[in-house]
Amino acid sequence: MPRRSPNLSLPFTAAAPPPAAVPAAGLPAPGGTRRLWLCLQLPQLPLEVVASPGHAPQAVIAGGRQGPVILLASATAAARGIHSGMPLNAALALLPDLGARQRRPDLEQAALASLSAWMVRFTPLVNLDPGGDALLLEVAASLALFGGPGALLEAAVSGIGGRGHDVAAAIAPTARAALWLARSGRRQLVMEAAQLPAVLAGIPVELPGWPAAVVGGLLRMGVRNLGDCMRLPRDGLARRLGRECLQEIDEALGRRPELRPACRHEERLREELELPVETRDGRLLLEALQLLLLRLHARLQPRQVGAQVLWLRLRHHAAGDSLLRIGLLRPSSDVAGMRELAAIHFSALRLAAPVVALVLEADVAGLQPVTPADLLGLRLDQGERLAGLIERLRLRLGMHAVHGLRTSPEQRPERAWQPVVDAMEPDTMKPEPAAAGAVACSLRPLWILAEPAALARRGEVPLFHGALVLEDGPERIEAGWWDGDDVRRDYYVARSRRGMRLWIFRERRSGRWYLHGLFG
Amino acid sequence: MASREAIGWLLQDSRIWQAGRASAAMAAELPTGWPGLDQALGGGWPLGQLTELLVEAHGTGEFTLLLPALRRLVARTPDAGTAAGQVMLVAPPYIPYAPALAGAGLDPVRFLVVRSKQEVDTLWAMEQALRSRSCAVVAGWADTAGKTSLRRLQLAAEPGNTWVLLFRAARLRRTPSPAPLRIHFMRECATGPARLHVLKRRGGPPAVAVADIG
Repeated sequence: MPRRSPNLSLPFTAAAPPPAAVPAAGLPAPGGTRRLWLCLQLPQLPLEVVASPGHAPQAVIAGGRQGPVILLASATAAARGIHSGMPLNAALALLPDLGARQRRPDLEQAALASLSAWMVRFTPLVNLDPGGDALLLEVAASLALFGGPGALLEAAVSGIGGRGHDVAAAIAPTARAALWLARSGRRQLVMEAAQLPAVLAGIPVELPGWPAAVVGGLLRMGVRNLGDCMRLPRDGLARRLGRECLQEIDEALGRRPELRPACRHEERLREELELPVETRDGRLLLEALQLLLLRLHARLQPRQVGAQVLWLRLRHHAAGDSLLRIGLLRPSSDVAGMRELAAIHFSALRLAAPVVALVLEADVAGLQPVTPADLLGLRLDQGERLAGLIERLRLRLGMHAVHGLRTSPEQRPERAWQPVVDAMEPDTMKPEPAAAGAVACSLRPLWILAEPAALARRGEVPLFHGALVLEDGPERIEAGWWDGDDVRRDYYVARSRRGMRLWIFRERRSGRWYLHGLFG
Repeated sequence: MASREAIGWLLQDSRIWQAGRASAAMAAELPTGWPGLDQALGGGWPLGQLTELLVEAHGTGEFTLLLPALRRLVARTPDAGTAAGQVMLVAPPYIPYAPALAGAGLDPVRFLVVRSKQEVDTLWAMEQALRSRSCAVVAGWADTAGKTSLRRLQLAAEPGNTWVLLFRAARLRRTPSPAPLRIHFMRECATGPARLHVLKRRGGPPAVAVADIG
């Protein structure tokens, strides 16, 4: 497939707006929505992923029928006469110090995947051209946010350029048209499907990557570009081109729908960092972690998702790894917050051996809630602050030292409540209906003892700082025979001499008195 | 960025009033629900300052005393800037019983219980809760807290409008304390109404109130 080097200096040749009443050129617009595809093609990708830094002449080679041939040459090599398609032997004869490298399709795909993860900031619909060298983004809904198609294209191109890639770009109403336009090196913005036949007419037939026999046949007939193709009778063209190539033209013109699945995003993110020196200094480790957190943030933030749990693996040279689990109460991608938590973890950490590398893993957990901001752009989110508070308290006092409360529909008083340890986010905790399955609660004490405390007695009278006076009761509770933990109790409200109202019971089997709660 | 955060903290200070934000205009007092006590306190429970409740023993009715005000706070619909009605209990002597809370019209979900083994941790947790400004009520139980730690609590309470309660033993009522409001909760006889001695309060003389708590 011949490749043309993109000419980025070309001005935008935005096509003129179409006349008002143009019949939609066959583009099936589902639900009346217009589609617009941005194609970012990386013509130098095979070279970029294997090249070593510097200006030495380099080239990527691929196996040809008679030995390896040059696939792509660097600018310095091209200036000295090396061009694609040249046999490696000939190239080496011309330029003995040419750095020739094998093509690495795996690295190319990895680079594209990493770019597609970055592109999510423009649109959630990112498509990786299978086996190709292009990213396709459906951007119709993102135009307003980024200030129009031109600005969006500029932002995407400069973003990729900043990551060290040469890029050709185009926008068109169909994905295939955008791909062909980008490949042709014309940075063009086509907004209406009606303009496509005219715009695509100039695309040479070599460009779409059709089989060499088809292209050769077309060229022999004097058909040089897609415009010539479109002028030919359709059935004759179908015979010469084959069904698939004709379908591609139809797809490019929007006369036939094209299926392009969106990229799937990774659900577990992993970042790794080799330390330049072995260390057990907590401050250095924290600096290294900061770097990893920033990278993690860069992957989470564009998707507006957060991480709920971070696993930090500290690699030692000789001993096994140390594993840290840093739990967050709600999904977050906030670097400062995560760093603060990690610092508290590090301060409690006793390292057996120096650390050589850090591995950070995180599961993507749900959408990060968008917190409302006021005029000055300040966030006033109560839930976030509460979550932070619970995290800090738990770090010092222990996971189970902080808990919420919940009623549970149970007869036995000690089981009619439960501590809530997980998912203590107030937003997700629904307020309970006032009497959710609970028994009439008016006669329940506000305080309950973790375990009923046995009371001394004098004759039949229970004692607690003096004799108790029974004020109300009995209320008989007999339950739990089904799970072996049965209770048979008579509950009374009793008043102590010091004015305390107590909830006490007599166990019916043994006749013993117990204190179970205080009315407070 | 740092200056933006600084502005944020300033604007959340209840002493600074922001035009257009109703919450700041909210009274810094919370009606107690006991008419006699309201009168003795000159309005109600003060918010944004430390209230010390000195009790003879736990379970004599001090929780019931708080119920009307708690109900008011927890039921209040949260809007930007005001606490969303979270109640934090630090080192309570017993477990707050969820069915009884629900029966008293308080949603148990709004309660957070913090257990601590040492008094240092109790005071630290209360201070953290106050500084985070995420709770409507912070109540703690700490008998041996020193003057300095109480002063720290009071300072942490001042910028917010949290209702801060510290329960301590009644024998400490003669020891001076930096808390602006100190109330001695007692009963004269086992079945009689509770008597509340306001030992100290801002802008008023000591007073006695009687609350008919069963």
